[in-house]
Amino acid sequence: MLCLGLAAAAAAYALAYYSRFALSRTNPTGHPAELAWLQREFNLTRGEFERIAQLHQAYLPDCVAMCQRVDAINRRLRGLLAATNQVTPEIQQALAEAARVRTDCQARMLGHFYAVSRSMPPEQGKRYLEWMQSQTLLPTFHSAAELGPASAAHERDHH
Amino acid sequence: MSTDKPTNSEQALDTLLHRWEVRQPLPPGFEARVWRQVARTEAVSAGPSAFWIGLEMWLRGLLGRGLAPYAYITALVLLGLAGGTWQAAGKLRQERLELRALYIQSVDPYHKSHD
Repeated sequence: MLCLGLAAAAAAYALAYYSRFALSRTNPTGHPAELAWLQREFNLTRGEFERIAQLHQAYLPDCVAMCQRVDAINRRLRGLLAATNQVTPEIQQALAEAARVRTDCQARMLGHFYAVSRSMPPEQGKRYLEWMQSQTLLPTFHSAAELGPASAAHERDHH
Repeated sequence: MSTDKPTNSEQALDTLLHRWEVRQPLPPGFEARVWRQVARTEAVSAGPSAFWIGLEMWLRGLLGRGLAPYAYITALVLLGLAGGTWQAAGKLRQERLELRALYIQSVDPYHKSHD
């Protein structure tokens, strides 16, 4: 009786697990899993999703080129920082270049996010845009004033 | 309109009740069932713990009627279903977070790992 009970419990467990997990993660789109996730997360129709997948594919070469620029400037900056313990004109120039690369990347990203959001239903597009902006463009740090009185006092002591 | 003196019909009923005898034997377990019913009724009016007392009485009822094996298997099956659903929900939540991060990495050069 004990074995029968345990077997029944195991079967029920497997049934619940696979019906809930395995079936809900099927990806019949033929696109990468993270893109298929986008379709589920933002309730996209097949047509909307295919349009967004095309935009994504078209954006990827741009993204790879930007990655290479980021890598190059990071390498240069790392080398300069390792060679001295002062802010040299070369370091200032490299920092300025890194900032330019970042601005350029962010502008291109934002353009892609706008294009993707326009391919979604308005409400979902708004939600996508807000989420992507918070994850990629908006800073994750806060000013002292935003953090509260303790940090404001800390900030005051510094100046 | 109650009076202290019993009427004739009440006296007759009293006499009849005193003479009344149960000749047929009670069905087996009758007394236990009566007490169970009394306890269940009391449990319902007892407050928040009434549910658990009621459940206990129900289980005792099942055990008393030889339904223990069915109750045991049903409980294990329900436990299995709940466990499987809970485990799958946790795994789906985890996977959802991973896919979100993957999507962001696929579009943001500053979220990729650079050399």
